[in-house]
Amino acid sequence: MVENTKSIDRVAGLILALGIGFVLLPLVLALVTATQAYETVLTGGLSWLPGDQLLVNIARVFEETALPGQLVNSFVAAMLVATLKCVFAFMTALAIVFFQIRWGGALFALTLVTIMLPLDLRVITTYQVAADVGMPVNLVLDLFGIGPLMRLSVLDTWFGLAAPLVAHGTGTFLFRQAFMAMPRDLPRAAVMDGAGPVRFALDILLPLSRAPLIALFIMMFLGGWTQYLWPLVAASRPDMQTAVVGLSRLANDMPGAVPDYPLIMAGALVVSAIPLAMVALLQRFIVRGYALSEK
Amino acid sequence: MTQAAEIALKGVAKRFGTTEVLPPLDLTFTAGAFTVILGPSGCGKSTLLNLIAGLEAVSGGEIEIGGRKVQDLPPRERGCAMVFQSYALYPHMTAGDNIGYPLKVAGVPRRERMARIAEAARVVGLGDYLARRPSELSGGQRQRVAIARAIVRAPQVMLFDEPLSNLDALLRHETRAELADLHRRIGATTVFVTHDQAEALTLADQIVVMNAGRVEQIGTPADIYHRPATRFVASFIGHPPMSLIAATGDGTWLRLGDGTPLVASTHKGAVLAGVRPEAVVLDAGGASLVPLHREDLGSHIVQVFRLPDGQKVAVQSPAGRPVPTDAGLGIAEHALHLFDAETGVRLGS
Repeated sequence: MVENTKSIDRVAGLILALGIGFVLLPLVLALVTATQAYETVLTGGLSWLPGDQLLVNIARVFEETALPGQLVNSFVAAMLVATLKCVFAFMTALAIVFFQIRWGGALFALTLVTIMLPLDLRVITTYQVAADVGMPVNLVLDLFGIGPLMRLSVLDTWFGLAAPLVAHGTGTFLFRQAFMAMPRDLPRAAVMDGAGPVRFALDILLPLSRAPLIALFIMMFLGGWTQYLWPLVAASRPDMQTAVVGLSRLANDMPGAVPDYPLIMAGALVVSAIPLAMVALLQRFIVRGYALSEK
Repeated sequence: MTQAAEIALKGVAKRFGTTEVLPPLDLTFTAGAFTVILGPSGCGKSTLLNLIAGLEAVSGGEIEIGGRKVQDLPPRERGCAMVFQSYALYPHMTAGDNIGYPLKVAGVPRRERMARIAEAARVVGLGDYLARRPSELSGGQRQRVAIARAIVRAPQVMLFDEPLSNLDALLRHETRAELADLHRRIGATTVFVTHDQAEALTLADQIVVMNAGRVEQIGTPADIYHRPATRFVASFIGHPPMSLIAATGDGTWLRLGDGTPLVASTHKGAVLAGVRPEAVVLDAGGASLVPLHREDLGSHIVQVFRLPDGQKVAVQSPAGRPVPTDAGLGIAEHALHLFDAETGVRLGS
């Protein structure tokens, strides 16, 4: 703030408060609904007055729905996505920044294409490949009149849920910036000390990239956790679906009936608990990671 | 004490794409000697150091260290250690871990590593700072860590890339003396790159003066100062630098552009006459001098004069005794350096 007047502060505070209220009101309604009994909602519709059925509804989520198993799916898939994304992003940025590779700039541009062409745009082709992983090879074999080598589908597997989400340029971009901000002589000193690329990456680069690494991991975990479209098509069996998809299915379980809003909202609370806890615990790393510099 | 190795460059050249940074170069660094590569920024001196270290690949020629051809070997197999201008310490490791990192990479057992870290720290006078991170050390201490990291593996060759330029003036002066002392004790062949002539003149057994990728002169500090081989060396070394005066010889005199006789000489044709500010003698009968400006440096005074044809000459005189304004320029013949007006190469002896 350049100016330091009370009136401006007050107006700014008011605008902020309005904004926060606008964002939070639906969440409050969800929270309140989760505390009410299905019967109350059936007779009186949605209400802003909290009920006393929160624990009952949460217990019902664990007893009556497939969400507990789907939470495990979500957790495993999101962990896979975040871990592999970090590994790939780290290695790609390592190659682009510290090695003089031919067409390095073009390769970097190609990795950025994944940001501009998100999975949602190529979900049909990705589905085709996931349903028949050998397809690219088989297409080539077909040209030579050789029959298909194998038919392997990764649909309805954890790997299938995670793999298409793993290749993404954001992390490469983040690490590239972090690596380029490092002193130019650091890799040279490591070379003089006898360290090869692997030692340099593990002994020097990795410890120095802790903040961006953790920040990226959290963001990618959240991204993987909240994915909707891909898990929706990649897993058709309820026991392999992710929690977010399972949550949306709760509303459609009984066609014609009024959806069990309290149960659904309690489910939403349960599903958001894990990412919420993660952000709460590690938020300082997110800020530091995006500041891109380690002191 | 390590075994020093001779470094021999044979036709070493470096090109980036089509740009020739270093034309083919033959150069020998005597085993155990302290050689300073001196030159302005961009003259290729750091590139030369990187080529020896193996941080950059040669575009042609051979590098021998201790009789072994190393130009195709990776840096770690060349037996060189390097101290960087920025020190390039690993920020996440303690000073001790920094010093021990080359040993750790080489697989030296922990117990021996500890002993050698302590020894290297002792040699560079790094006291009780081994447990601290680089961010908790001063510039001078960081530099000691960088040097300790370089000597811990007992290298045959020590390479320094402008290691003093990040220190303040006082510390730089102290460290210079310590480096000379360190070199005497370690004995490794040392190649030291700098653009600071004071560092070169005080530290070196041998100076290599470079300009625009070419070696201008190789010699002892005294050679470089008293018998500069080219016009570039003459103007680069000395503070203030030698005055270079364009003149023409008629067989008896070197004359300025307007015909004023400058100094007696048997040389004929166009030359550059060089004279160091401290070697100018005053002679009432010499070319007349018009005072331009004066710098009183405490220990001595430097005055700049204009010659009759408009060229400038610097004169150094002792403190408290400025040159009288009606003085004429006199140059003793033995203090005269003549350079070819076209090529800039030294003429005569």
